[in-house]
Amino acid sequence: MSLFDKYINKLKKQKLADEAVYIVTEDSVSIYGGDVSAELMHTANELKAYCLLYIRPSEPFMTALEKAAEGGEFAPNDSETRTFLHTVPVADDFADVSQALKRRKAVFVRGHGIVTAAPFGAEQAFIFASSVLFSGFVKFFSDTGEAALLGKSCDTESALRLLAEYIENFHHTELPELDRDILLSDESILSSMAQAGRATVELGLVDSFFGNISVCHDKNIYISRTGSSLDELEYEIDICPTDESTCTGLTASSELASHRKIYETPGKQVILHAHPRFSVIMSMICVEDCENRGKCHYACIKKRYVGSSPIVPGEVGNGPRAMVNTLPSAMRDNDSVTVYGHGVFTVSASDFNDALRLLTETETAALNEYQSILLASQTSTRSPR
Amino acid sequence: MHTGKILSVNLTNLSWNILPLEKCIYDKFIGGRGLSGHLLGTYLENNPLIFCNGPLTGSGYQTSARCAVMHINPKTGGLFRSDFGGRFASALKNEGYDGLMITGRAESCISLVIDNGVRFADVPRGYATVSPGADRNIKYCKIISDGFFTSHRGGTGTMMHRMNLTAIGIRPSGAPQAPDTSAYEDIERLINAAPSLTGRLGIGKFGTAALYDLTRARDILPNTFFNLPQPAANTNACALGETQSVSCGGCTIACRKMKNGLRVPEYDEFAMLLCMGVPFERIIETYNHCMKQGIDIITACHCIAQSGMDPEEFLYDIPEEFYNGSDRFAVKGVELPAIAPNGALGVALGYVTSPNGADWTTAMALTHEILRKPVPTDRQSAEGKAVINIAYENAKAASDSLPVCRYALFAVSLEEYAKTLNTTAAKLAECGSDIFMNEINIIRRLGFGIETDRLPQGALTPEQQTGFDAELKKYHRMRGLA
Repeated sequence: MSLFDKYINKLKKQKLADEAVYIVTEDSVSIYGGDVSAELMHTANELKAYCLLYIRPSEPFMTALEKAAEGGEFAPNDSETRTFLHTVPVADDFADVSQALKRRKAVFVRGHGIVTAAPFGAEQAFIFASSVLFSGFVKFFSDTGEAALLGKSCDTESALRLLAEYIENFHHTELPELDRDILLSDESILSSMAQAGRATVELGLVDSFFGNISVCHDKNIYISRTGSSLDELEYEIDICPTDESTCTGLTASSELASHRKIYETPGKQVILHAHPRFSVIMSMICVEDCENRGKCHYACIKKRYVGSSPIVPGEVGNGPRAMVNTLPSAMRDNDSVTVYGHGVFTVSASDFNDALRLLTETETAALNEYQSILLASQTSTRSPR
Repeated sequence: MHTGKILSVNLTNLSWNILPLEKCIYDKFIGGRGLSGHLLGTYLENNPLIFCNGPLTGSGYQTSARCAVMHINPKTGGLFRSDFGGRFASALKNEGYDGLMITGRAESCISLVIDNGVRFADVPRGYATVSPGADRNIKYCKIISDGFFTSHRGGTGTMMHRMNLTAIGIRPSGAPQAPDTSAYEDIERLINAAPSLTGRLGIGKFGTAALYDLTRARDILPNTFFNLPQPAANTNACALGETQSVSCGGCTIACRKMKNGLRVPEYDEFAMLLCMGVPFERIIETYNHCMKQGIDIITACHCIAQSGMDPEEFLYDIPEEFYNGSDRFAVKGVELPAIAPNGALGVALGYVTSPNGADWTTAMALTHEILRKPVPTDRQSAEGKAVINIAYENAKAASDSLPVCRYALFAVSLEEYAKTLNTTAAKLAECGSDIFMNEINIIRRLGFGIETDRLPQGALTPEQQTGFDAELKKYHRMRGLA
């Protein structure tokens, strides 16, 4: 199976897209995944991009994207959009796609779906498309949630309908039983990580290319590599000595520094990090007037929670605004911490069962809190004044 | 952004004049490397030595304190292109020039000073400088900028010696402030998100020698093509202990390192010297000796392998028969750097298609094959690398023309750089393609045909060679070179 077919299957299996087509232009043109409209083909010819991916998102993502795009180009304040996409341009039809793709990685076309252009091929195009999917979803639900909380006019009805559809198709609370004695050998550690990563993706808690996972054992941190898929971690784990006596961990997750600092607290053995959609959304919904508004992702000083998971600010990786300065201290007293607009980190003292349970519980709490906001808003709108 | 002027100096008659440039030249070639290529192509018969800054020079953007240098390679007769850090580029711009083109040969050794005009006099203390390494004999002599920064490979120092040019000094400009723009923030966010740049094990902490552990673990160090034993695992950048960081201008990565007042070797030099058997405890001292002499360590280590001599004995007294380097493991006469082609086939393809000869910094395949950015690719396979290398060659050519540092491309793409110039990534890539193809045209004029796009005999296994050749053909078709 080609890489193109692999990612088309992945998009469909994860119920992210109803249609997915790759147009691949090298010294000849190949098409994977079905028929291509003349308009899209024209775009591919015009751009001469190596790899063009078109997806028609499945529901509720398509409607969420349509609504996010109502005001044109959009840019929610989540970490993925801020760091990698910057903004998501919106086109009215395929004729406008090539212009948008000359400056951005992906574009949303009203009534059709997402088009991305990727010089590195199938995998990169898949990442761009799933990032836009995430971005549009977060944009619609965070804007609607915040408006509802402020009592402003918003499309509560659509949000509740899409939320119900999302819960039915994507929210799972039944947890698989994961390996228990994971520290027996390198092999048992690596296979337990691959198993937990796969379970995290299958539970819909992260799109496969995001998130990371680690185990600390015997002066080593076993951590997923940067750019690895959580559902395909076999051979994708770096073993980094805690004394930093080698740089082989240079390809480790960009959150290695945070993981390392978290493990400085005794009793933490494994870390699981995912981007559950509603935990991210709820971490961004805040209506308090504050001097740091607009800088919430790195300077939030309010005590806020998703369920019982405290929310901390922090950017990806390193630097003065990075989560390495906020997350590890918050994790000293909490086994689940949510990073603003980014995702949830959970820890456990033994294996991944508790970490996965905490992740799921945080997301369930986020969904319930979100639903309550919408329902309360609906009730107050309907109540006679 | 641009001054529209190139300072042209003729050393034969000690004269100078200003070449004005049309806006359309900048629209196509941007600045830096692109502009250098335009000037070299235009004045090729005069055998010029060219230095160019670019539109981001002096802007305060991260990693933009780079100066492009280009000329005919005195060792191979092909194209030499490199860049270096320090104050030279911004000082040149501050004097009102986008480029400096030097031709001719002075009767006796002189220095060139640029401060509100041109003088041939000793360089005043504190000026931004470029000077050749001390070794006048070798054809692979490098330059040193501000006494600390060097070009990636050798040849420019040889050019300066031939011209009887002892130093170039320019009155320094003030340090630029970081711009308060969203483009700066976007770039900074990506730099901070990249483990290879600012991570705990990244080049910001350990210098570019941090890459050594990765290439060693993948068995792609130069010992594989020299058929030598692999150096020990504990002789790595971490084992050098605490170092001090030095930044090229306002770079926030600061990958240049010092220890006890001496420079710590860069990746290629570190790997080469270790593979040759230079004792780990003497590697910094040996590196600094080579830097002062201007010795291109990559070339010198190929000579050491060929001669079978003790490496330190060789480097402290280079035998005359090795003044021209070695061409046993070379592409277009340029010796392979410290990544073995048989373990990274995208890197190998980049070696043969680079107008520079064997050079991993032209197609930057290390980024995806080893560092997994922006996405990992299968380093054991050539398949699909033609199209990826073309995209990266174009991106690298454009970013070298802004100019920004090659290591920034581990994390930042043309999409972010386009914002600094209010243009699009697609437009920058188009310029990158023009810049690259201009260099191809130059090497054709210098006698390097498509048949010189080949690896040294035996660099790949026969199975690898078949796939590699097919991908190379595809590359040539896609570039319109077949």
